[in-house]
Amino acid sequence: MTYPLEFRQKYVYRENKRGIFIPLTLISGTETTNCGAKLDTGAEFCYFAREHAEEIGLRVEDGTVIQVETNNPGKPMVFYGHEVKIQALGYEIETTIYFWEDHSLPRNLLGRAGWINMFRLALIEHDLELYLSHHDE
Amino acid sequence: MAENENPYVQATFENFRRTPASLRRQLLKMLEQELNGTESDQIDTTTSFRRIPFDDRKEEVEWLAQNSASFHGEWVAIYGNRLLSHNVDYSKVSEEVKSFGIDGAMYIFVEGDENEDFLRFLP
Repeated sequence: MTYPLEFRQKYVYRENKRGIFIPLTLISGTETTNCGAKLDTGAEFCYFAREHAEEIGLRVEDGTVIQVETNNPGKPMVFYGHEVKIQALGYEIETTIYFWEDHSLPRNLLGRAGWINMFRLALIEHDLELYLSHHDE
Repeated sequence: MAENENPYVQATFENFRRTPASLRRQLLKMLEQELNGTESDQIDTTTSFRRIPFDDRKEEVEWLAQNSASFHGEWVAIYGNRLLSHNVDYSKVSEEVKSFGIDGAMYIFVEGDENEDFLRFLP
């Protein structure tokens, strides 16, 4: 038995031992900033550096607060959720992402809720290929 | 503000007020299911989207692959295959790029060798 799938978009990513880097644009109102994030199916939400929030005019601490436990027990990381638009891989979606309260987050992450769950997605790491379509297409 | 002086109710209401509008419907549905004693493990993925021209920022990605090792712990601003600015302080990078009058630069924090992983959410 085979399971054929069809997608509207294909992205050939560059080999990178640190992960699958996806260039993207964050938008809030008329403000935009260009950055990138690692695709992370293990992340529950999308996490971004606060510098990006400030660049697009968001007041980080006005967002919905969440705490993320790290490998440093008793010292969770605090993030604040905001509604933004993300442009990536040929799609613009409206979603909620979370900005760290501190500066210089080691890496931005595109996680499940907020980005991955908006798409049907297939990953062929062997060939460095990512296929996707929006769920509503 | 809801007319209830119970601090727990007030805190819950305040958190709801601060919840992004796109999540409120989903949250209400979860609360309703909680109230009715049913599990909610479905995430509402209904959202608006539009197709846009695909810009893979190939030059910037290639520049990062080739050069980022020299900038661990710093913010870099790249445009095409050009490094516009780098500094540990994002604001200095942003200001310098704006002084060039360049629109569309990509801002990346180059992570160091040490890892600080996000493991799981607190209950």
